[in-house]
Amino acid sequence: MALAIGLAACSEPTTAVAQPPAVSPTTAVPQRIVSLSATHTEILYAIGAEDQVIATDLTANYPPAAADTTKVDAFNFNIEEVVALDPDLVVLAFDFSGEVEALATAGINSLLLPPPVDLAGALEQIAELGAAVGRLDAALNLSGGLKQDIGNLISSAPVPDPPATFFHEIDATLFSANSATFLGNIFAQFGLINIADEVPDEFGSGFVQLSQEFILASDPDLIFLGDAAFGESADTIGMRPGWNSLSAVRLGNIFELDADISGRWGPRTLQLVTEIAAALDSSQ
Amino acid sequence: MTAIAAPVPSRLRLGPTAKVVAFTILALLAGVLIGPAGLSPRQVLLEIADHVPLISVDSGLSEREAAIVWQLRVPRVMLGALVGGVLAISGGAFQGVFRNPLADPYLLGVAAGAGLGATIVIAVGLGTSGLLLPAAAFLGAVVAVLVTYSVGGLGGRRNSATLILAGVAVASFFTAMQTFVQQRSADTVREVFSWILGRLSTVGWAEVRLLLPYAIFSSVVLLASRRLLDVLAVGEEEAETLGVRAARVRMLVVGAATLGTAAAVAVSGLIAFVGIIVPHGIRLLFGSSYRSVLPLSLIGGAGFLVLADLGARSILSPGELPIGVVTAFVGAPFFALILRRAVRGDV
Repeated sequence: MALAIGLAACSEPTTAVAQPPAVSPTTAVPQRIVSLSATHTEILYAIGAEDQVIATDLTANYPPAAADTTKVDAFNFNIEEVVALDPDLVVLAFDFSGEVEALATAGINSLLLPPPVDLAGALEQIAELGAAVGRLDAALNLSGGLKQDIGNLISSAPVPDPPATFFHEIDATLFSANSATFLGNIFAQFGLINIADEVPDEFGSGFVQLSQEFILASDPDLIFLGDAAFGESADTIGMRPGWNSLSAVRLGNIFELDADISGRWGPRTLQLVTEIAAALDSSQ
Repeated sequence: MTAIAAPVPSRLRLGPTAKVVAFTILALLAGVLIGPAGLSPRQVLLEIADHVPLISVDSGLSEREAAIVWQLRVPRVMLGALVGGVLAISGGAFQGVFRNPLADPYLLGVAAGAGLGATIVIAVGLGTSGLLLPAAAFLGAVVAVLVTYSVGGLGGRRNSATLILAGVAVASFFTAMQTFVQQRSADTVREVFSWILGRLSTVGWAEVRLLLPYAIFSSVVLLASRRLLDVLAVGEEEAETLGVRAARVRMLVVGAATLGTAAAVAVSGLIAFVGIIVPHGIRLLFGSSYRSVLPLSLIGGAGFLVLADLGARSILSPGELPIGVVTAFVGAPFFALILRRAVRGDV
């Protein structure tokens, strides 16, 4: 059960510990890459390595061409299925059930790039992945461009005084990401105060479940919905018991974020930052 | 499994009733007065008094604070009481009708069926808010029990043992399907687990209104059957000689308990252990006659679950714990303590 709950968090960055890459030293540029991470699939395509990718995870839906590749279920990792694809590199974001060791035993190189905790970590991963697949220049171009564009967006965004508080809803059970996560760090760079930071996080997962009463008592200035794809909207939020007393609901400060984009740390982080900056621009 | 010893029939006595009622009233009060918003208990009581007909007082709470009391805490406490009461009385009734101390309201597949219904709704992206989720859970629960009854009655021979075995098979089958659906929808697994571990965290008056008629119907039928359960407890053949039609009583009791449990599970998720701990606790403390066990389980179960929910929202405050974790974590040692005292003859 613990594994399943942990895997549930796969759509969001969770791991704070930077781990050394598990890739074995090799001089040859990999030509048969299996990407078990939707984030890194996006990066591989963005740096022009798409022709080297032979299979991607079931959740890899961007860019659209990635959906047409052979699919592997990272959630239910099957070493035989991966071996049968004869890859020369497997890229992973998680190592929940000993995937790295299983791949090493099978003689397959792997690169484990766990979720970073901030933008700098995400940009480092782009460079690391680029170096591993023989696309370092393109990767550095991508990460450099992202750093500049994201920095510009954040620095030109309005800064509420006093600082605005916010609640980011991952799902309707009121799970939220605190500032120790990649997503939380992005919000923090805008100077926003995350009400989820007040909730104890004993195991440091970065993900906590809030109570309705706490959210109402906190009265956040802004609400970001990461679960719009599951039917939640400003209307459904307003219909929840007591929520129409919230300032964010009354003023219409409820903003939908694309769950895929806000749950990954690839090139589309720029779009996430754009969405947050636009929300701040239009908030009351 | 050891059959429960035949109870000595005895009337519901005032002393135990007063104790259980006092416990539940205190639990209800604590549930309404305590919460992460840190509202003044005096103002909360005034706010509640303001909603009593013919009473008008100014609690001094802001609109948002009043909403916390009246739209979050009160319905949550009421729903906790209803769910706890229904699960406890249903558990007590199941233990009586199957003469099995391990019987709980989930015995015939209610939990597995409800779990499958809820998981399908969540996995296909229809969300966890709205009434579709409880409707699907309720439907799944009822279908699972109907299948159990159908399988358990194959060949025209339906007794307690075959029904229990059929329940085990049906529950396993539905659980397998639920797990399959859940595994195929990895991005919703957290919501599925939140539901499976029980949740009162996002409920409101709509859920109270949904459950209330089922809770009343189920409780009335079960309370009306308490004398028959005392007779049935001596054995089905013996009961028949006393003029009790065992099969009919069993169907009536199981039907009412299942309906109440299915409705409770539909709005609160799967809250484990209440149906076993509470009736056994009552039995050990106040005697095993179903004339006492069922009404006191109804009242005590309400208080127990409200208290467990208070723990669920206080231990990691302002965060939440799944209530099913609290019922098992707190309930199991408590139950073991009572059991130990009973073995020593202290109770």
